[in-house]
Amino acid sequence: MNKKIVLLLLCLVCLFICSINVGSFRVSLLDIPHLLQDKTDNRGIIVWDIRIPRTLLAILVGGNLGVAGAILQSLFHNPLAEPHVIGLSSGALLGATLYFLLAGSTWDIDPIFTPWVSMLGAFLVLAILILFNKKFSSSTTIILLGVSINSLLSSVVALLLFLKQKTFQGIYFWLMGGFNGKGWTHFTILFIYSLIGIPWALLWRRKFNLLFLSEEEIYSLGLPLKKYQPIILILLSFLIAPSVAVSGAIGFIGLIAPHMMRVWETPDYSWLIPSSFLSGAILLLSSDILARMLFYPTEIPVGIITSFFGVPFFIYLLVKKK
Amino acid sequence: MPKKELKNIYILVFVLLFIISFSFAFPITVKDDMGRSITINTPPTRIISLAPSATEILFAINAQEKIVGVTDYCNFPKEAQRKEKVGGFSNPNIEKIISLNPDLIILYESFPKEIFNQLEKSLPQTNFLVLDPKNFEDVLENILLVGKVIGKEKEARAVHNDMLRRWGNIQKKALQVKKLPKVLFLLWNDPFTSASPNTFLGDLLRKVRAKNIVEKNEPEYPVLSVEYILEKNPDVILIGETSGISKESILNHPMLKQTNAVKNKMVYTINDDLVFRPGPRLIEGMERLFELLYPEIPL
Repeated sequence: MNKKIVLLLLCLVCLFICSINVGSFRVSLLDIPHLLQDKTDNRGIIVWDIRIPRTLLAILVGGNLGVAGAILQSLFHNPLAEPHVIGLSSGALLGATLYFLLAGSTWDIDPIFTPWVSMLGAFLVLAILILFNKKFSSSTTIILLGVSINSLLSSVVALLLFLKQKTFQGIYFWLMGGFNGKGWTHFTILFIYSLIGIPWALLWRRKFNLLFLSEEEIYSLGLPLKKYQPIILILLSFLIAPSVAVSGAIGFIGLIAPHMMRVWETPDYSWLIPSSFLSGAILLLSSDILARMLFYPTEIPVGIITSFFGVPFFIYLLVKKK
Repeated sequence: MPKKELKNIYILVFVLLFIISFSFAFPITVKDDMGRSITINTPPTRIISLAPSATEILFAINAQEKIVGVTDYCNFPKEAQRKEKVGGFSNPNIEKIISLNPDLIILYESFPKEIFNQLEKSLPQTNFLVLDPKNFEDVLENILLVGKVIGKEKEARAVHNDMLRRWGNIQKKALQVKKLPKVLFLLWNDPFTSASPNTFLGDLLRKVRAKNIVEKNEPEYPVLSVEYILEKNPDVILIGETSGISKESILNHPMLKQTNAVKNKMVYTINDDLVFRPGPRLIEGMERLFELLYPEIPL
């Protein structure tokens, strides 16, 4: 198990180096300190202000989504649970869209503000989920509720964009998800939230094992499931909302990363939480590298790549498992 | 004082004035369309255009040599396609832009603010000119502004005056129009999508005294039902070349047959870029519209 974690870490480091080298020029790691000191060289700015923060951002977003996916699957005893499914991402999306609309033109949007408004949207969905959680007897109903909120909010966003077409262009790349134009500020925002979410998830890794059991089994063990659910939902929104807020809606990472790890080693959450973080990061970072390389110099939204490569791979895993 | 010395002083003063007049041209301070104040110390020599219309303006005022980067969509004139590409219109490659080391970047208000902020931070020495034209008149001003900023004021003035003259001619000829035609512009076929009075096409239609059957300003590109089209009964249907609609499909459309436009075979195609792109070819678009709508009045 530990060997595999080290293997994943090595893989991530390799990708990190690779990611810093993708673009109009290459840099060797030894050159970086020298480049950063040379103020006259644009390459220093490119490496420090663009390549490094976006690489770290991809790692963090991928990791958070991977862990969130793993936890969701435990919470809902359902391997299909995924950050999009419970409606948090569309809540974040609605928040951002409303802000874009209220701001008027693209020019009045303060990009630093966007993550916070979208967090607000995600928390709104979270509040609804917790409120209804008390009334529902089974946790699968929560999934149903999440799915319905998801489609409702998506329709609201679609309607708003339809009425105000100028906003559409601004929000389009956000909808698809991506890291173009994201810098240190975005990374800092996400990093602060991850400092809460990731250690928390690691601490509770054994609890998720219990939660993954069927509800009857949990009750027979005398666990207060109802008490944990709202707290776990808060943990999930710490993991999901800031990620969606800084990088847009990126699908499938939360579904695929924990699954791959489950098939590769064991469904034990002490393995699943750290490995899902690493594999999520690896998946998203390699997708971002591809997104930058495929149609260079045009960048394609990374969400397209994750679905394009994620889905066939996922189907392969499903078939192989049988 | 001897005459020779006086002459020398005259020459000296003249030379000094000459030098001063040159140094007065730059540095210049201008305000762009967003009200941002920009000071330019020396005429820019490495310009990146982040919009097809800005590329067209630069080519029209003979500044093509100064362009070091354009977008994937900068397709006119043909030579623009040979320039270095920096990616899409709303999703350009920041790294590529920085590595081209530009001293001036021309962009529009619709450009993603996030990417703009990132560029401004990473390129502290670069000037950014942000344009936000709303109508034909604004485009004329934009051309002058770009000319001033890059030290091609004379060329810009020439393009500006030519456009103004041709517009004046259209205004004069438009007085001869007796019946103002109702026009439907089709940008897309499935569903039928048109353009509101708030677009450049809408502005051009107003200027050639045609009535756009789309009356509301928003949404800017509304989807029209066949019922609405029949009710408004356009006299002329114009089809954008990139719309994927053939003239025949409109002429043979089972329901549009009842419109005046189809009955009188007043269905034409027009190059979308001429009527939507806020650049120097907008005047060509205006003339083309006039010719299509009023074939009986020669320009």
